[in-house]
Amino acid sequence: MDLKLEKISISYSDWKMENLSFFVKSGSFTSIVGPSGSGKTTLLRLIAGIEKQEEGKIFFGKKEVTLKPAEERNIGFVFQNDSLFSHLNVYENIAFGLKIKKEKNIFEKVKDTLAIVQLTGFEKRKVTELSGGEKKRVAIARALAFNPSILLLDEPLNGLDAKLKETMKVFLKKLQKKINLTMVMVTHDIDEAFFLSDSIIVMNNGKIEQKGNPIEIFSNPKSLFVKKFVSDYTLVEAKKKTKNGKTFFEGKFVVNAKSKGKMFVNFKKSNYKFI
Amino acid sequence: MGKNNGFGIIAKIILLLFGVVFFFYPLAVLFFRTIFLTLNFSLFLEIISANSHLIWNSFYQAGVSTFVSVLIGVPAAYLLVKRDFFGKKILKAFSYIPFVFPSILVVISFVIIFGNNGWINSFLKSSFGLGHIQFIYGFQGIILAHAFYNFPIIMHFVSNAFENLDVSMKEAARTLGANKLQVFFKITLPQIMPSLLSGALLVFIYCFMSFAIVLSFGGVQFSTLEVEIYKQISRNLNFTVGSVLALVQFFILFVVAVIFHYFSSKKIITTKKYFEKVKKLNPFSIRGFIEVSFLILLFAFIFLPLLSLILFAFFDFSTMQFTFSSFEKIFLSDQSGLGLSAISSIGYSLFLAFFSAAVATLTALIAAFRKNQSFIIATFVSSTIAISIMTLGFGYYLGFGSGNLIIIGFGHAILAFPFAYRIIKNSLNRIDVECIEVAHTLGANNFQVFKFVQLPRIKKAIFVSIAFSFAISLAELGLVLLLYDGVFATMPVYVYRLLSTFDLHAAAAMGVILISISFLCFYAVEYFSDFEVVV
Repeated sequence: MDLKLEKISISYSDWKMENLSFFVKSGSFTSIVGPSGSGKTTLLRLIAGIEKQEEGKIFFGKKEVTLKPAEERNIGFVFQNDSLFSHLNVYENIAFGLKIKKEKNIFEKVKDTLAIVQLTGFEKRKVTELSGGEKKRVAIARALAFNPSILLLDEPLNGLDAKLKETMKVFLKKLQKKINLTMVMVTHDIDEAFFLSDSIIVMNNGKIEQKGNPIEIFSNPKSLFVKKFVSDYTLVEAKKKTKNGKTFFEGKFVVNAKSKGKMFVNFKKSNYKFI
Repeated sequence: MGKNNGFGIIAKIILLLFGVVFFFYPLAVLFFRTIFLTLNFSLFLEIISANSHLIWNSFYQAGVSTFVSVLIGVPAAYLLVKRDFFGKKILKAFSYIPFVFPSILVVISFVIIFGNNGWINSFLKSSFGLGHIQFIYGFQGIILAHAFYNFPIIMHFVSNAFENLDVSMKEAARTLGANKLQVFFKITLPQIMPSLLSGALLVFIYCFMSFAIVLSFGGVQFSTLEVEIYKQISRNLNFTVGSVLALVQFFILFVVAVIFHYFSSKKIITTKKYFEKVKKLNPFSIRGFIEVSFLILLFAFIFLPLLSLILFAFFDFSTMQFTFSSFEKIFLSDQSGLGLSAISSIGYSLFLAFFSAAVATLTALIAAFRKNQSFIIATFVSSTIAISIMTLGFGYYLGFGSGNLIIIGFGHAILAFPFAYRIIKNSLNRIDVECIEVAHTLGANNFQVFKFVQLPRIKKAIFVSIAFSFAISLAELGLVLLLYDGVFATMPVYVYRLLSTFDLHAAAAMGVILISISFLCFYAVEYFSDFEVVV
């Protein structure tokens, strides 16, 4: 489902967001990136209906949801700290939304959702006894179970260890391809955003600094702020080639450095992006 | 503390002696004495069935008191967490009142306010010409006084739970389609339930073994196990019935205490939290109006008793003038006709309070520093919460015979021990383990770690513990009344005697002195730290 924000304004005592608009295409993965205090989480909470904007309109597809409370928007929200219901087990957590919405075949739906997040058989587990990654996946399952129109993720990879982070990154990417759901993720990590997103929104101090696909953001930063944000990275373009029946990618990587001798470069698999 | 150094061994022996001699031994004597007295089990059952109404009364009275305390305590907790209002700090500070405010003074102030010739009845009579309403004598009086006395415990437990509740959990429920009502019943309520239940069980325990209030308001028609034990021992000298009832009560309370510990261990502590937004009270909406009215009633409920004591101590209603005559009466001459000396009462009380505060804090300190929490310490702490004064007192009577002030002092220390222990233990637990390990790597031995790392951090807790134990001992009536009545009349005993002569002014005067000492003691602690009650 398309998502459209139109001239959204909200202000707190010492901070404000004014006339913010953007559009997210149905089935795409969008990341909202920015430092803390940039307003990215507030934006996500506005979309969810947890926070109320002072002015502006929000559309899900063609339907305006501006005045609807969170419980009527049919969105999935994955909270930064998981916010699993500690008095309920895994099954009850995931079934929560289904029960409230009085859906049928709850048992099967929970089972299917658990399969999607690769936690088959975890129904009876206590959520307090899960590992960090498992908790995160239960939180995602809970948000997915009732077929939400849009999935909102607030720093979903935060607090996971480096290895798990990579695994979850790949997991999210596969998930999005599999269920073809509109997903909006908030993160302070441009790395994650590059790998996962079709489109990136860079925010600073309540304003959108730049919006575009990851390649654009990295190769053509429009402002000093965005430039600083991506300056640690070097984007290498590699072209597909075939030699002796083998397919591979080849690119050129130039480094200006004075040091003599050998040089090693470490590429992370999750930093490749195919277009 | 140390592993095998002399200091550690001495400390261990002190704790062991304290627990064995002044807790387990008297209880064991009581236990075997009861078995010996009722060798034929049928006598045991006979006594129980003849007194079954007392067991029912205790349950019924404690149950209703708990229910009413919950009805007042939960909304109070809600407002405490979610609203900003004048006097919030005072309401919060009121949390520790139940532990240190002498119940006999609750009795006095309720007689002044709600008694047959009390303020409310006088007002009804003069304004509407109504006959007096029976507020306090009988069941309803017990419930009213217990609610006043115990709702702060519920308020304390539940407001802590509200504060610890992760707000994003509620937001998550909203995004999953739950409306406000569903969020409350499916998220908030189940989350605070363990705290509510453990608060309620603690109140139940306190009401079940409540002594002064039931003794004064229950009269002839309504009695409970605790009061009956006292009557059987001190008035009827029927030790067989007394000891059977004491044993029955001990086992009931022990079971409730075990359930209490189960729920209090289930209390949810969230680490990452998003705080609830605190709103200002707005009296101009219907909801706000209800909230403000509730708070006004609550503050009246809290402060009227205190105010009534002060007025009765300093004000002569016949001449409408402030006067010190009540104080003169108790100090200068024995016009109270009790044959008791106010000065020596204060002396006895202060001695007991200092002695028991020192013993309770020292032993609590030793227990808190035990590295491996042995089963015995855990049992000791839980059972000291659930031990009723009369059970303990009867055990002392059987175990030590006619003792002296020192024995009572140890008894008071037993009563204060669980509080002292929790206060110190909680403070000790807050010290990062790594801090201690770092100190060791920097070359500090156990004693140096204690002196330079732990002691400075728990200093405040030690002061709080002393003040708490001190106040608990000052407020304690039952043990002295049972064991050494007439010989060592402490301040609460003095007040109790004045109550029976209906000299409310003199009783209030003594009450004001008692509260002032407690207050001074806590003020001194406030001066050192801003402390919080930890139960």
